[in-house]
Amino acid sequence: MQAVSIDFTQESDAGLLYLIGEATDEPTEKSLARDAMREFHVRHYPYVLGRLGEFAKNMGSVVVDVERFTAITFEKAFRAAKRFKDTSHGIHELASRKVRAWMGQIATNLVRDELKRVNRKQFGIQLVPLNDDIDAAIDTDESDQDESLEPTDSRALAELKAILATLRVEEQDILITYATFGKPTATGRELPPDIRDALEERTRYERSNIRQKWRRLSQRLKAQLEPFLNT
Amino acid sequence: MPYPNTSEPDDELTPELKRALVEIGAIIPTTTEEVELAEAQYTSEPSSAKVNAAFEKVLFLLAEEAPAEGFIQLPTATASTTGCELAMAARNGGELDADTLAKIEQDVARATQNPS
Repeated sequence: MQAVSIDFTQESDAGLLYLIGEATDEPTEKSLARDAMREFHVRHYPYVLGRLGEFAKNMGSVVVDVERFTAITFEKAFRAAKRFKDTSHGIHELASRKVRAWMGQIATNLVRDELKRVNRKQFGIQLVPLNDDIDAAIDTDESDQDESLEPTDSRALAELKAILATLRVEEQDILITYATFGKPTATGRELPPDIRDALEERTRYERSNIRQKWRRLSQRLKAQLEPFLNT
Repeated sequence: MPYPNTSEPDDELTPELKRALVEIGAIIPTTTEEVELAEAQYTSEPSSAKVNAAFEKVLFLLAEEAPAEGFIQLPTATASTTGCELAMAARNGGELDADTLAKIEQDVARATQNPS
């Protein structure tokens, strides 16, 4: 068997994911894939842990194990490595952001599945887990415009944090759930039925009250942040 | 560049509000633009020992046949069904029937009694 030596620190994220996704059970390929996973993990772990940790702090009415959430996000990314499409045209910074956006989509899908699981568990419903190959498709980041956004005024961010800190846990949950999973419609933002049902169970609010809460919260945030957002 | 206005006219989540929620970490970034904003905010740098330990956990999960789950739990108080109906009625502002009111009064009386 011929020894293969690759300097993984020089490899692109897409290259690492290719090695991970295409590896067979052959020992050399498995070893390469493991080294590729380690390098990928080193590059993105601090960012992913940081973002999921912040998200967890705001997910009011549930308790999130952030380290396990981060580990499962990487696990899912490695299992789905074949599905990542690199459209960065060799631009290093953009490639890294595309990978992180893709992992953000994976993490968001995991939260959705997990919230449904918690809801089912509460009612004693057991489901057989799907094989990963036939699991829900993971969206790719093809709609990106690849242009920078201006950062928000720091006073607005401080105000927003202060407001969120004053909300009750179920109000935080409603806000974050609508902002994360809601889809805009002609009559306002709507939640997919499974997400909405789970939110009703977690918060113990009725559907109409949840919607009313979301509207009031979003109006309040807009009103309080407007002076900073328009300067 | 301003945030792309992809929202419907009646979407309560304006692009500016969504952007701010991404920046403070309340929403997980899922586009390259959002990642760029988020990267400007985060400063955490875990130790290499922590990163290595975390990687070992990922390998452990990958060794399992089925994808892992179980990182979200309901708080114990919420998971219990005791008193849920009362909490729901109170939050939804519904009228309480005589039996429920009597039960609340009994509970309040018990809670405010002297321990002696």
